[in-house]
Amino acid sequence: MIWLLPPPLVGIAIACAALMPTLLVALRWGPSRLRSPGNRFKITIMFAWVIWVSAGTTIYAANNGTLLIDWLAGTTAMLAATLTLYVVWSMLAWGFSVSLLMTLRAAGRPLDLDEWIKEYTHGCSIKKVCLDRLRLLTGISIVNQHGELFDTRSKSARIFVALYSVGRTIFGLGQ
Amino acid sequence: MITSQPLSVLILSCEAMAFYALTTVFILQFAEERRAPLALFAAAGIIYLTFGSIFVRDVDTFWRFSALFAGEVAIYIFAFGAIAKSLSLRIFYWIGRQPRREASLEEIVTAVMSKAYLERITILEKKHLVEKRNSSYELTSQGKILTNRIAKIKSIFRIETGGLYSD
Repeated sequence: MIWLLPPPLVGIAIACAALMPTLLVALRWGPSRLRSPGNRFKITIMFAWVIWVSAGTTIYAANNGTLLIDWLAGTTAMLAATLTLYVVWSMLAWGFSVSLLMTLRAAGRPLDLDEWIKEYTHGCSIKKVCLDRLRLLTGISIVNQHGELFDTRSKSARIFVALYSVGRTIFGLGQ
Repeated sequence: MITSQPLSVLILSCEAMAFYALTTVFILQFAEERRAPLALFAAAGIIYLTFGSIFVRDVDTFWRFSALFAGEVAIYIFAFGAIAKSLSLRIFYWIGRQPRREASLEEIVTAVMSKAYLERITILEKKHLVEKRNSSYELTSQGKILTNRIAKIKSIFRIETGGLYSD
């Protein structure tokens, strides 16, 4: 069966990828006991990538027979694992639909729309939720705030709007 | 059939990715948005198996091709997810499409946020996870099964948050 094994570098990348979910659990249960899902995710990803980069570079440098393609394949495998885990983790921890459903479950009774949204936002107004989202956008300077008004007139924002529009068309999401 | 030449594997994965992108762009023009993720994963699986079984002939090439194609598909699906689902990007895009490329907080709340909530709830209704009775929403039996499963997964990973605003 040994002939079925991946090339060493690809194998290390797969092992590092498999380590990620294990670390996510271990960091909550272990001595560190990290409660925040965001911090746990960041540390997990950093740890797995440090192992991959150091082991991958060492093996690549030490072994003349190792191919650059294996390093590239390993890196893309790690990238796939990171993105997949990010999507699953953020969906479980902060996902919009998942949180809405879990709010209804936690309430244990039927809720009207206003109650449901209020329970979901833990009493925050929809304006506050919107402002939080806008803060993300102003933080990366693609939206500018002038008092109560928000604009996307900067050159980078215009380019980004155009790219986003193309993306929506390509993916059949309409405008 | 390709050889195990490193460059050939890279080219093969790029060709498979190009084929995947073209196929899914075509499919997504007709698929309902809520069925799009399934279409993206199914197409990835079919194209991976097709290219793999036709062009890959040795174990090392199989692993290299699998890793490269998985990475390329992950980036593509991630981009789709961000464009389709991100509320922040939706707000940004909506502001960008206004006549003076600007909007007030009130306008954004009315035009984007409230609509986004309603759309998401409609999707949950269409998936038969929640139902509306006398202007109140409750979980269906299917919704209860799903939320119980999610609760179990969250407890395994010890995710104690209940969304963005729970802490």
